Order: sequence, then structure tokens, then C-alpha cells
Amino acid sequence: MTRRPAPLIVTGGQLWRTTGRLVEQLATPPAGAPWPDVVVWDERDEDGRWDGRPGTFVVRDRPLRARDPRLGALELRVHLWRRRAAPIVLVGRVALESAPWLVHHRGTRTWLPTTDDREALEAGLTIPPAAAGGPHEVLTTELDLLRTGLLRDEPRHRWAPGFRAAAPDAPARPEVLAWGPPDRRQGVDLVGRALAARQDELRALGARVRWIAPPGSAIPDEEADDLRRAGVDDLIVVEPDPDPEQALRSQFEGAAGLLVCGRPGAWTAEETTWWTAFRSGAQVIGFGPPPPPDLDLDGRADLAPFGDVAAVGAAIVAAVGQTDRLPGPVGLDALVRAASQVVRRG
Amino acid sequence: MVEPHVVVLGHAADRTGPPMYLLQLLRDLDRSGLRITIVLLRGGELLADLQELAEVRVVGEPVDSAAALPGRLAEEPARLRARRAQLADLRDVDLAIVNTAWSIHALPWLPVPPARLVSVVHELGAGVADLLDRPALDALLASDRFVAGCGAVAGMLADDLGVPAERIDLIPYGVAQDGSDPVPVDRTQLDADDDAFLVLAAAVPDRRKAPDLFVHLAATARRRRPDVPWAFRWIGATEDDPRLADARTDRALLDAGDLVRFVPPTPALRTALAAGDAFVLTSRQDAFPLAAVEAALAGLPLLCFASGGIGALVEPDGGRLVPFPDLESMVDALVAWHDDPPGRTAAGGAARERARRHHDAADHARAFDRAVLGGLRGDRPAGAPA
Repeated sequence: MTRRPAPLIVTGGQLWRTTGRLVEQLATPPAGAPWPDVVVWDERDEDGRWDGRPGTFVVRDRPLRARDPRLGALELRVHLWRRRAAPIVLVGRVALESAPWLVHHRGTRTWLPTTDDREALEAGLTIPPAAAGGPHEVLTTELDLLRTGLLRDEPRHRWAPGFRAAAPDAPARPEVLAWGPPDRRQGVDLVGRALAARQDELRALGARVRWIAPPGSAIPDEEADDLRRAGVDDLIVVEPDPDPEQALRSQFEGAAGLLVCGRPGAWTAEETTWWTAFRSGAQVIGFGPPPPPDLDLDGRADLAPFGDVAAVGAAIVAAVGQTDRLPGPVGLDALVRAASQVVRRG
Repeated sequence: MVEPHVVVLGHAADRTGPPMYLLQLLRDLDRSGLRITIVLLRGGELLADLQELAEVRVVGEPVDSAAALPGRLAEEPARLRARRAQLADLRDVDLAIVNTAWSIHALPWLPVPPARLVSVVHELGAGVADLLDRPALDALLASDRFVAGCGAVAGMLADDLGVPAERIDLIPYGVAQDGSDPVPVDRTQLDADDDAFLVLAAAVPDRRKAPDLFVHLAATARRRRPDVPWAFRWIGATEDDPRLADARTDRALLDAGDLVRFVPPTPALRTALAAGDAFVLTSRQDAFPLAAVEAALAGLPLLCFASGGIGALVEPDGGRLVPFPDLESMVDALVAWHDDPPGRTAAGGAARERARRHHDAADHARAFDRAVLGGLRGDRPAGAPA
């Protein structure tokens, strides 16, 4: 039995926020797993991101390179030759500069662009062909980047919204999220009635609705009275957030569901909702429209006709009761496994 | 002998529960030997009826200092002077009866405090402690006696507001009865077909009465049993009533324009209700809506949330009480009544018998007379100081 070679991550030294976060998640193994090798391609590592990390080959850090680039190059060539069969994940624009060094690499190569690369793509960034050491596959995992259409004509491109570099941390108790002003337009009355319909089960599950609200907004008195009267005021926790849309991205991690129960005029952030929900494994629950078909996000919604709070309550119970929600591959190993299958099929 | 002077403080003369209660009470009371003056905060369509029974003075609503525009606030001192001038001659009041908690606002406008104050409380918490500011609530709680028409209000007064039980008279509400069964109106008056399963409500369309939940109830019923020719009609509101904004919005979203209609109030409520198949009350909180008694006397089974005070009329056997806001359970009851006409008739019959036995306005008036007016006539010799 042949042992599968460990994957290799190639990335730049100076990384912007999105790419940096992605690389850090990919390069940090689950507890007990070996550290994946990382090659940091030139540029300055101002963040000290790679200082002391095991298995890291930082190209600019090779002292011999400074005096004699050929020696540095030779050392790098040996480093890559020893990993010639390893699947390589190239993260961000700078990683593509490694292509000439990978011409003789025999494993699969996947490039993960991020929104940080948008400017370069708009400027006509050339993605090297696979025969020239470029990626076999270009994988987009961000909705914002997909929506630019910049990779529309790239035949190696694949939209992989379900992929996650790391599993989200589960919240202390099962949560379903809502957002926007917690008022009638946003459907707080309907959410309250949905909770009331299944309150015993939700309490047994320890579940609650976390409502991310703009600062200064609160549940109106008359709606709060209704929640109290229905005995579910303890099942909704309102948390002010200055930027609810960003909150969707940063706070949805681990949520079991997202509630879209608003009436016309409600704050929806439709695409972000869908993508974030899908990516975090949350069900979209409520009365909203189905996901835009081009996002290829199916099976992640429990949508009922407007006003069917019984269905919403049942969907909330089902969502918080799910144990394995993530829809796509998680982590570096899952990514390279999926990539190798795609490359083989291709 | 100078007739004892009774002043009734009321909030309005519109066709809603408390004014209709007052009208019926005054009709049934033995008013002989009493001088009665009614002070109302605003008028309404019952004004002429009340004027047939007593002198009526309409003095205007107090300003809402939290919500009023500056111009309105600036006018308030002058309005206050005008109100006091309008009531300046009421110096000899032997008894003031406050009909609805909100009406307590008129008490300070009397030139001198009444010798005795009795408050008839029709509301639960939403209409008393939640509505009155502290001075008004204190004035109400200073009443010598309280009259509650149902156990829920008596309990609220004692448990929530700390009124000693011995100062509370529980006198069951009543409506006028003659023992006959009402003749139903033609259903066209309710914009409903003869073959429809007609679910009726009757109330003012304010938020507490929850016309929005009535709309959702109708949509839920249709979703659950699309084969039933449902018709939901709310008696007591015109379609353009601004208080129906939320209900209209949701009715449109639910595509329930044909399913739910709002029809104006009617003086012949019982005969209108008799045209229905079931009576539903979606109030978020309601002490004891007399419309439910009317519905019971019309032979309809009653369906309400348990958050109100109507339970003693509904259960057992006269209908269903469900937890707020469980519309699915309400639909369960409606479906059961649709599918089991004898069962529905039996429930309506039980409610009617209970209403006849316990909720006759004449009985209420006699008990009220004993508890509130008892001893007033003839107690005060002519020329005695007020």
C-alpha cells in the first residue's frame, strides 16, 4: 500500500486579510495531525506569520539566497523535488509565481484565489497552464469573487461554495440567527410564534435565536409583550452589532440556521445569507425566496409559504437537531482529495 | 330630599364593550331617586342613547404628554380650564363610578372629590397598570370599591395591583336577554355565501384585539383544509380603518383578500353572529368581551386564547381555549366543528345555556345596585352637605 504524500501549501509572504486567514486555516492541522508543509513565496513576511512554524520553507529567509541566488534556488529545487508527488494547494496570486518551479511536479495543483486577488485578475493576471507548472484546477470558494465573473472563461475554474478550510467552532448552545431591526417588518412576531409552536422541544435542545440587531434597535414593547405572553421571550437574545451584514459573515459560524421571516422591505442581504448559510452548514429557514440558481446551493433551505409558522418552528427544531451540517469538504486533506478526483475526471 | 348625585366617568360613547356595558347597565338599573351625570372623555354613536338615560357631558381626552406635538401641549392648560369650567357645578357628588380604568383621568377635573369612588374595571394588565401613569394608577387604586365582571379582572386587581379582596365585588357581566333565539341575518350582510363555513369575530380592530392574528388564523385554516369553504368575517371595522394596517398587509401577503373581510359594527350584533358557524376571539389579552356572550347567546361555539378572562364562559364544553398564540390548535377546533356539525351545535348550545344562566344583564344590574348603590338612596337628607 502506497502512502499518500502529504500536501504542500504554497503562498505569498505578505498576505492580505482574506488570503491570510484562508492560509492560516489550511496550514493549521486538526489536533494530532501532522503540520502540512508550506512554501512561502518571496515577498516580505511582515506579519511574522510563519515565524517558528514547523515544516515551513520561506524562500526569502534562505540566507544563502541573498549571497548566491543559485544556491537558494538549488535548495528550493531540492525541497520541491522531495515533494514532487505531493498535491499542492496554491493560495493567492503570488503563489502562481512558483509555476516555473513546478513544471516537473507530478501531483495535482489547485489554485485558490481570493478577493484579495481581484485587482490582479481585473488587470489580466495570467494563470499559467498546467503544462507550465500552473494549477490543474482553480477553485473559488468566495461568493464575492464568483460574482465578479473574472474567472468565467477559465476552463479550470470550479465554484466550490461548500468547501471550508476549517470547521467552525460550535457555539455553546444550538443557535439560529436572525438579523436586522427586531421588529414586525423583520418578522419578530412570526419568529416568536414559530418558537412558541415548538418551545418545549427547543428548550430541551437548549436552543435559542440570536438576533443580531443594529445598535439602538430593540424589540418594540408590544412585540416583547407578545413574546412574554407566548412564553418565549427567553428564547430570543438580541445582540446589537454595528454592521449586521458583516456579522453574517463573522458570527454565523456554527449557527444551525438563519431565519428569513421578514415582510416586504425587510433587510435581507439575500446572496450573503444564502452563501454564508450554505458554507457554514446552516439551514435557511423562513419565507424568503429560493436561492439564486446560479449559486448552485440546493438542499439548504426550509422555506414555507408566508405565515406558516408551524413549518418554521419544525424547521428550527430540525436544524438545531442536526449533528453534521457542513455541506462540503473541510480542511486541506479533503480539498486535495476532491481536487485529485476532479483532475482525474478532467 | 335631594336626590343622591351619581357621576359616571366614562371614556367614550362608541360601540365598544365598556360604553355598551354602561348603556345596558343604566337601562337595567333602577335609576329612580338618583341624579345621574355622565362625564365622557369623548363621544360616539351611543351618545344619544346615553342622553336618554342621563345628562351627558363630553369633556375631551387628556393630552398624552409623551406623544403630543408641542402645539397640542401648549393648548392643554386652556383645555384643562375649559374642562373644569364644564364640570364646575358638580360639587355635590355622592358617588363617582369610573367605567374603565382610563376614565380615571376625568376625576381630577371635578371641582371637589366625590364622597365615594367605585371603579368598574374591565381590563386586564394591558389596560390598567400598563396603560396608566403612576398618578392615574394611584388615583384608581384609591377607589373605595372595585367592581370586576369576571374572575380574571378580580384576580388581576388582587394579585397584581394589591387591592384587598374585601374591596372587590365580583359581579358577572351580562347582556340583555329575552330568552328567545335570535333570527340570523342574511349572510349577504356579512359578505358570505350560504355554503361557507363562517367564522366570526366581533371587536374593535385595535392591536390588543389582534385582527392580524385573525388574518393568520384564516390563512392557517385554509392551508390546513383547503377543501373547506372558509369565510372569516370581523364585525366591527371598516376595511379602511387605519388600525387594520398590519392585518391588511398580512392579508395581502397571504393572498387572503377573499377569505377575510372586515364589516362595520352593527347594533344588531346577536342576529349577525347567529348567521355564523363559530365565534373566534384572537385577542392578545381580553378581560371578558361581551361580544363573546352575544356569540354564546347566538348559539355559536367559542374559540379563544387562554390569555384572557373568558374561560369560565367557554369551558367546559362551550368551545375551546388554546394557549396564546397557538393558531394551529384554533384551526384544530374549527376543523373539528366543521367536520362534526352535531358536536359544534352541542358546544354552541352549552355556551348559550351558560350565558343565559350566568350572564343576564338584569341580574348584573341587580347585583350592581346592591353592591354599589345600596343604601345610597335615602341616606342623604335634604340639605345635608355633600
